[in-house]
Amino acid sequence: MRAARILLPAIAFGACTGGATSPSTSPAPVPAVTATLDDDARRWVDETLATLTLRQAVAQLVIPWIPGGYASESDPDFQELLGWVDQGLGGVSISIGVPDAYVAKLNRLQSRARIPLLVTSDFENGGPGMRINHSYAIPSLLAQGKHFPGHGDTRTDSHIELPVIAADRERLDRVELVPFRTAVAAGVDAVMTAHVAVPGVLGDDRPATMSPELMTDLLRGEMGFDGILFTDALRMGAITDGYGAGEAAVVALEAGSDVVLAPDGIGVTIDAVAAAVESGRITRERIDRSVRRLIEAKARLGLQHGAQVDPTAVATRVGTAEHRAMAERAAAASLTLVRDRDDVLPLAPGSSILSVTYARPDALLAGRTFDATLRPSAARMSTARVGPDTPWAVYDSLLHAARVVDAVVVAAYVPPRSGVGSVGVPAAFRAFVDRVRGLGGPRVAIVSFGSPYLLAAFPDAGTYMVAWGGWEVSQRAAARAVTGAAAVTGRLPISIPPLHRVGEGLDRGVVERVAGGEQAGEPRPDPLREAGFVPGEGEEEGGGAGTASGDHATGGPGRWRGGVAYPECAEPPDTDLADAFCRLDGAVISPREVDPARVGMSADSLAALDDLILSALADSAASGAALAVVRRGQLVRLRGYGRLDWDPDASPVTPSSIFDMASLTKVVGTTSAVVILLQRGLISLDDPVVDYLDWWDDGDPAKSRVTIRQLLVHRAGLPPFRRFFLEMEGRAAYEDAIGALPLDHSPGERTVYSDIGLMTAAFIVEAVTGMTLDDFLRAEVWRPLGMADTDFTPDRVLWDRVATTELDEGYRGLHVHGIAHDENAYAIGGVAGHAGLFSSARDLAVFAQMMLDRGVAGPCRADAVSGLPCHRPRFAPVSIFAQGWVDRITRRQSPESSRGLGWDTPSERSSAGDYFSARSFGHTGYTGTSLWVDPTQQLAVVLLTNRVNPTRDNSKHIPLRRGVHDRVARAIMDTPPALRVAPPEPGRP
Amino acid sequence: MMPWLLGDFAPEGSPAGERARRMVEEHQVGGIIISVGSPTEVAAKLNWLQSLSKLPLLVSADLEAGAGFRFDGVVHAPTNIWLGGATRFPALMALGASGDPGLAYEMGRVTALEARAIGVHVPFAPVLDVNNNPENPVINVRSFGEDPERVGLLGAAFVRGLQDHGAIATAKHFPGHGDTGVDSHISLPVIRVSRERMDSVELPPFRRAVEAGLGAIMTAHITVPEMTGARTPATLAPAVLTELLRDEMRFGGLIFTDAMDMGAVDRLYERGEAAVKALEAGADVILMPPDLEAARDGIVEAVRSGRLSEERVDRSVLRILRAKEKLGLQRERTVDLDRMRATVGVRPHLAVARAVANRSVTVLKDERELLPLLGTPTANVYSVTYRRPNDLRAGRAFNAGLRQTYRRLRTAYVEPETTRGEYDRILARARSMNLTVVSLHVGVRTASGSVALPEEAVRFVKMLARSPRPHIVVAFGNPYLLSEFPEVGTYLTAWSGIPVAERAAADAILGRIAVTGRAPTRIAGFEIGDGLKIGAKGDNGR
Repeated sequence: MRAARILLPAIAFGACTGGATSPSTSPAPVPAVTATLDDDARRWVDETLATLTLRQAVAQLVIPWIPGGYASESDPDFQELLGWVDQGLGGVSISIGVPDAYVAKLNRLQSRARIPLLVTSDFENGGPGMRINHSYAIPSLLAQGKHFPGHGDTRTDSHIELPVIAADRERLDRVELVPFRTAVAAGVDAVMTAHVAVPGVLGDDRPATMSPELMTDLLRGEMGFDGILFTDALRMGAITDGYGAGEAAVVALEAGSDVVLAPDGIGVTIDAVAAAVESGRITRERIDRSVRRLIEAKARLGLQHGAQVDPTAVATRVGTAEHRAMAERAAAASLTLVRDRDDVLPLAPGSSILSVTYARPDALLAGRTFDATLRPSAARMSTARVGPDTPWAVYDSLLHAARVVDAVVVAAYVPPRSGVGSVGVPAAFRAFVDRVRGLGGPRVAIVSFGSPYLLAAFPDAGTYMVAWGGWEVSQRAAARAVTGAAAVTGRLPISIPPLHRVGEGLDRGVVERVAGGEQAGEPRPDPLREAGFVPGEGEEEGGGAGTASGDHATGGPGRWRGGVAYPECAEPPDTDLADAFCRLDGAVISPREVDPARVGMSADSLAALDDLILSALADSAASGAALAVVRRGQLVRLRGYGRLDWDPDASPVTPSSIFDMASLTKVVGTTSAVVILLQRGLISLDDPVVDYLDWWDDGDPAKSRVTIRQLLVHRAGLPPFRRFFLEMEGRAAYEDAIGALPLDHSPGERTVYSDIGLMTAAFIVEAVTGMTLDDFLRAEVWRPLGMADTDFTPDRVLWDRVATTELDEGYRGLHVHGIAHDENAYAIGGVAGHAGLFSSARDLAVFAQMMLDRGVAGPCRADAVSGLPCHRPRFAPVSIFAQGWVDRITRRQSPESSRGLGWDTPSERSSAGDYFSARSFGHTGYTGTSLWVDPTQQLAVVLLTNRVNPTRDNSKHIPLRRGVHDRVARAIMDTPPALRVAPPEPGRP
Repeated sequence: MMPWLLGDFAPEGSPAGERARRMVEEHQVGGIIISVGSPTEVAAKLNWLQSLSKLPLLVSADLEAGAGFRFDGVVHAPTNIWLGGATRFPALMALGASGDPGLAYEMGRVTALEARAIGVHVPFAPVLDVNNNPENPVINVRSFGEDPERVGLLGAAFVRGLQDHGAIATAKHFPGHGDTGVDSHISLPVIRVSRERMDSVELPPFRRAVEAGLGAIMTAHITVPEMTGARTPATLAPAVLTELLRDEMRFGGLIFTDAMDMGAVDRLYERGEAAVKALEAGADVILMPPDLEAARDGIVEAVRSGRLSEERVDRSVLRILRAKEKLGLQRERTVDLDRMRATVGVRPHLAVARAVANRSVTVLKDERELLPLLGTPTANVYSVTYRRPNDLRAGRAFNAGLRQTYRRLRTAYVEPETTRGEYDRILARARSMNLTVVSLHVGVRTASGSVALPEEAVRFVKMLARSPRPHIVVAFGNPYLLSEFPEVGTYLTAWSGIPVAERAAADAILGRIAVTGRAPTRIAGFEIGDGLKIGAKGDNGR
C-alpha cells in the first residue's frame, strides 16, 4: 500500500525528457539536468542571491497554485499573478490545462520574471487527465518524492481534516521510511511533506509538515537529505484550519521546509514570513539557505539561459506517438489479475458480452474506450451505464439482459478521489453484482479502473482485475486483456487486506484468434434491446443478420428450434421475470397477467374464451394465435395458443411471437406517422397530395384535388388495390404506376377502402421527413414506447419468433415467412404504408394502452406485479400524440361511413362483435390480425392469427374474431356492456 | 473544399494530426472550418497547418455568438474544470431584445478581432433567418427575431462590425431557414411559401446585408418548392443561388454551401454529384464534404465531361483567392500567440458581452409585481435548474448571483430523465420556501430535433405556478416555452444559458440592473415589442 502511494513517478519519466531520446525531427533538445554546477552557474546563483531584498527572498520561497487553462492577458487573476512575479515570486504550481495554453501562459510569466520561475505540477500519472496530457514540454524535470514521512496508512483524507498515522518510530523505519531512504540515496531532488499527524512519534497531533523533529532532525539530519523540501499544499483544510495562512507558512519554514506551496494567499504569506524575520523569529540566513537551494535548482535546470519553450515545438514533443506508445505499454504491463476462480478470463472467443460501466455521471469518458475496444471481438455486445444514483429498477432490467449473455463485465470507476473521502459503492450496485453472479449462467468479471481496494465491496467476487486508472490507455489495455488479445502479467504492489497480499497476481497469455466464422455462433438478439435499453447508432452493424433487400427473396419457413419448453405455470407465478413465459392449459402465458377480478372481469368467462380459441385452432382457423386483453390499464390476458406453423416441430406461439400485421400497418404505422406530422404543423389534413408529391397527379385535374384527409378516410376515389406486383418491383416503379393510375370516382364522392391511399400517405411522410417510413416510426413511436418486436422487414435473427403465413405457389413460390405476405408491400421493398409491418401481442398491448391514455405512455417497470402492458421499462413518460389527436382520429368523420382518420369504428357486423361501444375504434389485417379499443370500457383486445397459412381461402377467423370480442366484453362484470346493435325487433323480417 | 477540423490538441504523428496534415498537404484544400477548442490550441494548430499549406488557407468557424461560440467552454474531464476561452455572447435573439444596432456592431467588432487573433478569417455569422415558427428546432434564439425589418437593421450593423475589423461576414442561411419545424441536420425542411412572401419576410434582411457590403453568404439546405421544385435543396438550386442571389440581388461575394454532410443533402445525393450540383447552382466553396475524394473526383469528372466548364471553376477559385488577398494572407498567414492573449477574451470584450446580456433580459409578465425582489438576505429561496446532465456549467453563475443576496439559497438540479417522484419531492420542498425560481436551460442543439421540455418538467412548472407561493420562471434558451404553462405568474427570458446571461438574469431579478428588453418575436400571446420596464433599485423603482 505504502509503496504505491509514494512512488517517485517523475523519475520514471526522466528517460523521456532528456535530449538523448528526443526524436531527430524535433527542435533543439531540452538540456539535461546537471548534477553539479559549473563556475558560471555558481556565479549566477551567488550574484542573484546577493541582489534580493528580504521580501524578494521570501517571495522566492512561495510557489502558488495557478490554473492551467486559457487566460487572457487582462484576466484579473492573471494580472495579479503578474504583479507577484514582478515582486520576485519563486515559481508557480500549475494545475489542469491543455498543452498550448500551458506553454503560452508559462512563457508569458517567465518573460516577466527577473529570476526564472520554477514551475511545478502534479504529474503523478503523466497520462491524460492528470494535469496536461504529458509533461514533456516543460524544460527538464526535477524528481520529487512525496508525501514525507508517508501518507499511505491514513484513514481521513487530508483535504478535509487532519489524518492520522498510527505508527511509532520503529514501524516508520520498517515501512514508511524505506522508499524515502532509497530515494535520498539515489539523489532525489526534492521531497514533499505530508499533512498527517504521527502521534506515535511526535507525541502530539501536529501535522508532520510543521514538525522540526521530522523535517529537520529526521529528514535533513539523520537521513541526510539536502534537496528542496516542499510543503504539501498549505491551503488544504488540515492546515489553514489549525494555523491560519500566514502562521502556517512561518511554522512550516521553521520546521524545515524550503518552499511554501500553494498557500492560502500570497500576500499574507510573504507578509507573515517577512515579519517573522524582522522580529527575529526566523533568521535571514535560514531564509537564504532555502532560497539558495531553490536558485541552485533553477541553475541546474539551466533556466538562467532561457526559461521559455518554443511554442511551435509543443506538438512535436507532447503526446507524440512514441510517448503514447510508452504509456500504452505501461498500462498493459500494470494490469493485475488479482483473482479468477473459474478461469473466466480471457473470455471465450465470440462470447456475447454485457458491459456494465459504473461511474459518476460526470465521468464522461468512463467506459468509452473500454467498450469500443471490446466490441469487435464480441459476438454481441451491449453496454449499460450505471452510477451512484441508479435506481433498483434499472438494475432489475439489466439483470434480464444479463440472463441471455455469455459474460457480464463490470467496469467500475471508483476513484480514490482527493477531497471526497472514502471509497464506496452503493448497495444497489453491490447487490446487482451479487445477483448477476447468482444467476449462474453468465460468467462475471469485475475490472477496477480506480481504487484497487474496490474488492472490499465484493469480497465474494470470482474474477477481479485492477487496471490502476481509468484513462484511455488503461481502458484499452484492460479490454485487450479481457478478450485475450494481450497478456496479463502484473503483480499487486500493495496488499488488499485481508484478502490478498503484495506480490499476488495471476498470469494470462495471449489467446490465438480462431479463424473467423467458426467462433461467431448463432447471432442473438441484443440483450440490452431485449431489456429495453435501446442501443445507440451503429450498434446493429455486423450482427451477421443482414436486412438488405436481397434477403427478401429467400424468405421461407424458419428452421424451427426444437425443444423450446416452457415450464408449467405455478400458482402464483414463481418468477418475477417479464419474459419468462409459462405453460397453462394449452396456452403459453405471461406472468404479468393479473387476476381479472382486480379489474372487474370474470375469470371464468375468460377461461371459456381460451377454450373458444383453442377449439378454433383445432378447427384449422389458423396454426396459432396470440391474444392480449387490457382492462383499466392491466393485462388480464397475454398469451399464445397453438404453433407458429402447422409443422409439428414449430415453436409454440407466445406473447412475444411476431405476426405479419397486414393492414394493421395502416393504423399502427402510417396513421401514427401522419398524425405526428399534423401535430407538428408540417402538413395539414386538407393539403392536396400534390403539394408534397408533385408526380402524384400526372396532370389529372381530379387527382390534383385529392387531399390527405381523403386518403385517410378512403374517399380519394382510388381503387382498392391493383396487382402492380405482377409487373414491377421497387419504389420508383410504384411511384410511376400510382402517378399514372386514374381515379375510379371523383374525390370525396364515396368511401372505398384503398391500399393505394395509405401507400400514398406513407410517401408523403417520407417526402416531408426525408426519412423512410420505418426509420421515422422507429424513432418516433416504437423505440420511445419500447415496442421492440415491431418493425418492417424483421431482422433475420427474429425469424424463429415469426409466424409463417401463406404457401405462395403462384407469385413467389415459397412458404411466406419473415417477409411481407402482402405482395405489393413485398414488391415495393417491404416497407409500405398499407401493409408490411410485423408486431407481437405484447407490443400491440403497449400501443393500445397508449391509445387508451390519449397518446401518452407513462413510465413503467417491466415487472410481473403491476400488470401494466409494459415489457420494456420506460424511465420517463412518452408522449406520442398531442392532446386531442387520439380523439380526433378515432371518431367517425361522416355519417355515411364507419371510417375515422385511418382508424375504423364498429359497423353493423363488426369484427369487434356486438358489445363494443359505438365510441370504439380499431382495424383488422388480412393475415388474420385485429386490434379493437373501447375507451368507454377502458378495454383493448389484440388478436393475432396466421389464418392465411397455408391458404387465404379460409374464413374461419371471422366468427373467431367476433366470438373473442363478444366473450371479452361479456366478461366485464362491473359495468356490463349493452348490445351496440339493437336486436331485430320480433315480428319484423 | 473546406473540410472540418476539431480545435483540439493533435500532436504530430497522432491520427488526428495526420488527418489534418493530409487534408492540407495531399488534398491541398483551400481552407478549413475549425471547430471547438481552447484559443491557444486552435491558434497553434492553425499556425501549424498554415505553415504546411502551399497557398494560405482560408479559415472559417461557426462564430454566431462570438469567438466563444467555438473557442470557449472546454472542460477538463473528469474534474470538470473550465479551461477558459474567448468571449462568448448571448444568442442573437438577445440583441433582438435589446433592439440596439450599436450593440450589434460592437458584437461584430469583438467577434472579428478575436477571430482574427486566433487565425479565423470567416466567422459564419450573422444568422439572418427570420424566426417566425416557434417550433423551429434549429434556428430559434439563433435569429435576431421575427420582424424582418429589425433583423435586417441589426444584421447589417453586425456585418459592418465584423467587416470593419478584418473579418469576412457570412450571412446565413440563404434564402431563409426561419419557417421550418424540421432540423436540416436530420432531414430536408420544406418552406412552403410564395415568392411574394419571401420578398416581404425572408429576403429583406439578406438584401440589407448585401447593401452593407456583405462578404459572404451561406446557403440553406431547405427546399422552397415555389422556386426549386419539390425536392431540390436551395444549396443545389441554380434558381436560388444564381438567378436570385447573383443575378437579381447582385451579390458578388463568396457563396458557401451549408455543411454538405448534413442529412438534408447527404441522404439524398451521391457525394460527388452533390458537390457538382452545388457548383452548378452557383456555390463557390463546398463546406464539409463528407468525402473529400468523392467531391473532388466528382468535380474533376464533371469538368472533363464538359458538364462544368473550367471557367466556371476558375471563377470561384478567383473569388476565393481575391478574398485571401484582401485579408492580407499572402503577407501574413499565421498569428502571434502573445498578441492573441492580449486580444481574446479580454475584459473590454467581456464587458460588451455583459452589456448585451444586461440589455436583453426581458420580463414578459410579472402578475404579482414580484420584481425587483426585495432581497431580504435571510429569505428562504429555492433555485431549481433544468438542464441536460452534461451541461456542466448551467446554473452556476445564476445561483452565484442569487446567493450574493440570499445567503440561504437552496438549489436543485433536474434533467430530462427526472422522474415525477423527484419533482414531487422538489414541489414539497418549494412549499416551505418564500420563493422558488425555476430556470430552464433548453438550448438549441442541432440534430436533436426538439426544443421542447419533457412532460414531467412541464407538469412540475404548472403545479408550481398553481401553488400560492411566489415563483419566477427564467428561460435560458428557448423563450417559447411559456406557451406550455400560461399560468406562470412571473416569466423572464435571458435568451441563452451562458454565464453572462445567467448573471444578468440574477441581477435583473434583484434589481441590480434595469430591465429594458423587448420581445423581438411573438411569444405565447405576447407581441413583438412587449416587455415590462423595471428600473434598477435606486432608480425610483418601477
